[in-house]
Amino acid sequence: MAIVCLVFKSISTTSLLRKGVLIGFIIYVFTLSIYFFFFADGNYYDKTPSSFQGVLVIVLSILFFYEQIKKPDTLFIYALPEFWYVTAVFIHAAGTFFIYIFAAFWLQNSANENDYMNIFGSLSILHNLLIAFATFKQYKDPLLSTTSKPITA
Amino acid sequence: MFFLQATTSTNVTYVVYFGTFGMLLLAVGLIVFIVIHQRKVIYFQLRMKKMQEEQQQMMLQASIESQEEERQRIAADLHDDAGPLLATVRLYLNENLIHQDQATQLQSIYNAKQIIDDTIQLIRNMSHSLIPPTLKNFGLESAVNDMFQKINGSGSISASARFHDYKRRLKLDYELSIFRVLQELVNNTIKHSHSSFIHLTQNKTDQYIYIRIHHDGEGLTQTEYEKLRDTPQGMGLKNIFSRVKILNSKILFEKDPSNTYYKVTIEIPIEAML
Repeated sequence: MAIVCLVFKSISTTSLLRKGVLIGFIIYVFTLSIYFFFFADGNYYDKTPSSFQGVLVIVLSILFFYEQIKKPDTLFIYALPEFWYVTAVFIHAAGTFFIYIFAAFWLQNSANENDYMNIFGSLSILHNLLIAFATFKQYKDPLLSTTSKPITA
Repeated sequence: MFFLQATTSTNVTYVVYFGTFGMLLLAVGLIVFIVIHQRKVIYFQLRMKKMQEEQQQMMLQASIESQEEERQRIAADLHDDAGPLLATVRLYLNENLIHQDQATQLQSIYNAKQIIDDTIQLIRNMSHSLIPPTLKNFGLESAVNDMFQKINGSGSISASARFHDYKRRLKLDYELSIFRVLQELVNNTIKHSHSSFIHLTQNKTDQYIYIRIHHDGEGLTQTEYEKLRDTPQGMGLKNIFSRVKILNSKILFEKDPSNTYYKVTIEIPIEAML
């Protein structure tokens, strides 16, 4: 999660997203600490922390898109590698949100494990493909100058 | 999640499927919306930029045309007035003068002197029309009063001006621009409005100087001014617009609610002018 936050901080162009990253990460760490100290039962399938993470990623992604609408850098937003990176983590976080929330109960029945793995696997493949595409766009032609900031975690 | 453990396994499966599907749909929908909206924003900004460029082009064109008109006027004055006068002087002072009797010589020299005086006066008038000496030496208030006295002197229209608070002069460039705007407004009023009086007042706040012209003839409203300004005939109004814009000021054409007179107000920020 720290890496995701650093990436978001790296691609932010306004103070709104930078503040969002900082505040979001602090809240995330604080909530996680409370959860681990008082509520965690050591259950392997308890994915609550992942749900927190999903919420934070969704909020940061929406902030990034809002930032792009308010201060657009380019005519085609999809020409920016940042856009594909954020799209990847946004879709992955949105898609896995429900399966993480319900993981503790849903996976008690082993018949659901296949479904869980199918959804999670499909979204992970999509996520990795989009990240790869973002990286490809970033480093397609290093000689060409780009208006976008490089993604550095 | 403890509260969800009360539900049955089938229900949870449905919730997970529909929830995941719904979230994905929302995420994709949001991304598509962002892409479309962002392009709209960019197109809007480009259109605004283009409009600003067109407006600047229009102002530049008006400024060039105005300069050309001024040059043509000066060239015409020099060619039609100063040229013939000097040619006449040359005729009086030609070489044959030494072969004539003394009385004719004296008459010729006297005539030449008269014509040279006329030429000097003509060139002085031309120079004054380029920059009024009253404005240069005594400021906007005196120049405006001078202009209004001359209008009053014609007897066709009653003109008066009153400056309530103009103790500190603005920079000469700005005063000249304001004076030109006022000149154009007053000329337009005399030419087109058929009014019986024209009255100018000046007031000041901490931030702005307000100059207002009232007249009881046929005038313009703001909409009419903006429409006329964009027509090829509206050269004077274009010049007013470009000068006001350079001064970073505002101009407002209004009809009084009583429908008895029209007023034009110029709002000039003081800060940049001193």
